[in-house]
Amino acid sequence: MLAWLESQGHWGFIHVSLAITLILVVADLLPPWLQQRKLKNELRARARREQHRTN
Amino acid sequence: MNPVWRWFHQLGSPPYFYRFATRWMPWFGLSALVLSVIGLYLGMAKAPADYLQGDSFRIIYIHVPAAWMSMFIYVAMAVNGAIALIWRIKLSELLFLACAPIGAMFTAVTLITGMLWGKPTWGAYWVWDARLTSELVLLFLYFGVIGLASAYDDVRQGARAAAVLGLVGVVNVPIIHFSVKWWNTLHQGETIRIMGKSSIDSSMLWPLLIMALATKLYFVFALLLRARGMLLEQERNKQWVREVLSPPQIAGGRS
Amino acid sequence: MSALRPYHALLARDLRLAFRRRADLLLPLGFAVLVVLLFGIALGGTPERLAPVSAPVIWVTVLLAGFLSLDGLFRPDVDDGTLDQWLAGPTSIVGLMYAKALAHWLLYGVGLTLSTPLLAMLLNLPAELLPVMLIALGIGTLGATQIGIVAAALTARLRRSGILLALIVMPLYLPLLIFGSGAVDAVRLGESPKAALLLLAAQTVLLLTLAPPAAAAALRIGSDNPP
Repeated sequence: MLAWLESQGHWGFIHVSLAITLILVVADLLPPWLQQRKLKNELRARARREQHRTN
Repeated sequence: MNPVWRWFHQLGSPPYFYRFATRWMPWFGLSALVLSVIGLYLGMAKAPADYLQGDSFRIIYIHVPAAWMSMFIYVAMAVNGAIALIWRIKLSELLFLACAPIGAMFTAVTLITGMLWGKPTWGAYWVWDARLTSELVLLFLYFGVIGLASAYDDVRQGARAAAVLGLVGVVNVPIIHFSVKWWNTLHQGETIRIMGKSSIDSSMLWPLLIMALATKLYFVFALLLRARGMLLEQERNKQWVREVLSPPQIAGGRS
Repeated sequence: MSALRPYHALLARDLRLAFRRRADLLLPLGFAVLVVLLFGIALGGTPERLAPVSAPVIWVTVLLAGFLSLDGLFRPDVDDGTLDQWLAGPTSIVGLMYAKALAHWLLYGVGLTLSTPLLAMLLNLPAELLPVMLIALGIGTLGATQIGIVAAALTARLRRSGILLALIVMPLYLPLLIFGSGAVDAVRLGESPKAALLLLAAQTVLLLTLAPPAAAAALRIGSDNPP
């Protein structure tokens, strides 16, 4: 795999750099974002349930 | 009271911070995205190839801003850790915890792009040069903070213990950097001096500065995102969370 | 003199406890000899290959062996409630940390430094390097102990800390290792080791001033009595 990368010349290294950076950024943002969405939905559902009960 | 101080005090209150983060996050995220697209376009397509290194030098448009951020975030993290330890502000603990993974991400980007740049430039993926080695140590300092914080069952205790480690680390980072430099200097001289005589052409410098700004904005975005999530988790049973989330037709819309 | 009594008592207690379990005291040395044995085997055992790497191998071995003793540094005090008593009592925790660090250094730092000639023999360390090696290790282990007590204090209340402790301690050991083995390298190259030794000493002094207070702050974190 490394041999393939090295045969691509300079732009190969640049593209791999960009791709890995993009993957790491997504890996940095996605888990907290998904977790938060889940938590918010959960809390909203709970609030709705409580509202029903009081009504 | 001084309005700036009052703003800081307000920011320390969870509901205020939540609303602040929710309101401003998209702007930080969007501007970071737009600026990095512009910066990368200018860097990759417009800037001329370096006469010594050829096209491979373009990796610095990722590598160098990431390296700046890796150190900047460590300091920002330590400052939040100090505030958390001294004034016991809950929000500072969360911001401290939120800094660590983002900083580790930037450090990893720095290392990987540095290695990919090293192959065409030095002929090897890894050379034991002072700056790369310091970055590797920095990555482990981040891992130590993350590991220690997550080892505690109680989030707040973990945050404070990790904050002590962060402060120990921030004292040590210059020492580590100096010692590694003393140990070996193989790297090319520092090419980036914003002030004074710069050895790099302005068409090459502009994209770099744009990228530096973009990474800063990204950091704020990611920080607000993570801190907001942790705040919600920690305060899930508080009244203000109900108020912020409950009439869904007003607070919702975007989740 | 009486003001120093609690610290003196802690120092004496730690030393007495250690000497009561002499086998435990010899474990780090045994570990060091084992690591050296592994290196010797892996390097083929020929003096030509051993001698050039002997100094760095000894440094790494000593740091690792000293590191192994950190896990148990505060654990007994946490388990039997001594720690909570300290925190509730009037004695300065920082002072107690100095006593604790001194005891640890006397037991492991000095112990391992004094056993270096044995490791040096096994690894064919050139004889002219031994004196500077001993000086550098003596200073370096004092600094390593300071880093160690902070890390041990941070993980004192955790059930398991092995790898985490390594993750915390190893990166911070790096400057000590650089200057310590740098001093030995200087002598090997026929230069004066003074600069490296002074830098090593400066770092140790800095650690001596900063680490015990940091360790004291770390111990307070998990306690019921906030500062």
